[in-house]
Amino acid sequence: MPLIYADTSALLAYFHPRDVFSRTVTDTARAQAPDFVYWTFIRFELRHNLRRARINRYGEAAWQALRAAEGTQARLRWQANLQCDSLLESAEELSAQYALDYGAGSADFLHIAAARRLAFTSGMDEFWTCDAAQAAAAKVAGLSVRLFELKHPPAQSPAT
Amino acid sequence: MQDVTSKVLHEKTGRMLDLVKQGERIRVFRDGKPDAMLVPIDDHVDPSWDEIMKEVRAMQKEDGPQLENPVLAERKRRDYAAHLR
Repeated sequence: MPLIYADTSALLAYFHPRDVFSRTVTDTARAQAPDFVYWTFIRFELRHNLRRARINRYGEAAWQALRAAEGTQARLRWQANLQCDSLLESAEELSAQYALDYGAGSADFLHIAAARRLAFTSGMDEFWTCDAAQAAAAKVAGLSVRLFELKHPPAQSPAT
Repeated sequence: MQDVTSKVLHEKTGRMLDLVKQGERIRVFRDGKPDAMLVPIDDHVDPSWDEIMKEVRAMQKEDGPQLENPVLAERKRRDYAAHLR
């Protein structure tokens, strides 16, 4: 079972049934049956975004599924060794190297730093994201990357 | 926790269930590999991943508008703001 670092864009798409990337991320996850890296920063970012999505039954279903998944730790593999303090140092180094060349933001470099730490220490298999800038920065940082792209971008009207 | 083979479970089902009722957890081996677990009814049993995601997957199949990924939307807004500087 591969261990995947899915950044928050990809994990949110996995849990939220109406996210534009939901089906493509789910199809890939079904094919690979991966475990997902889970640690304090992903938990914070994912919970934050899903809390804000609890405005309809889709968002509520996503929130409940996440909370149930956290309860079992099936698929969401808690990484106690990933600590923000030390990873912020690594993210700072990555930012110093790549900030000007890639459109990734500060939190994106923290994800990449965490994924790199796991890749070096315990064998993380692939980095998943729906963000092209994040993917480019992750690739140049040496990670094996899967970028989810939409073949047919939907109309702009959001689900309510 | 006790380990038993599926053959022993078959032959001593009542005895095994009595043990489980007393709080014992029993791991069942078949062909040398753990295949199943007998646990007391009051023990918490985690739902399967399919159960956890059942409603989400059903909703995925519904027709209707989709939601822009909020994480990407936030990143786009941040990028736009950066260009204004």
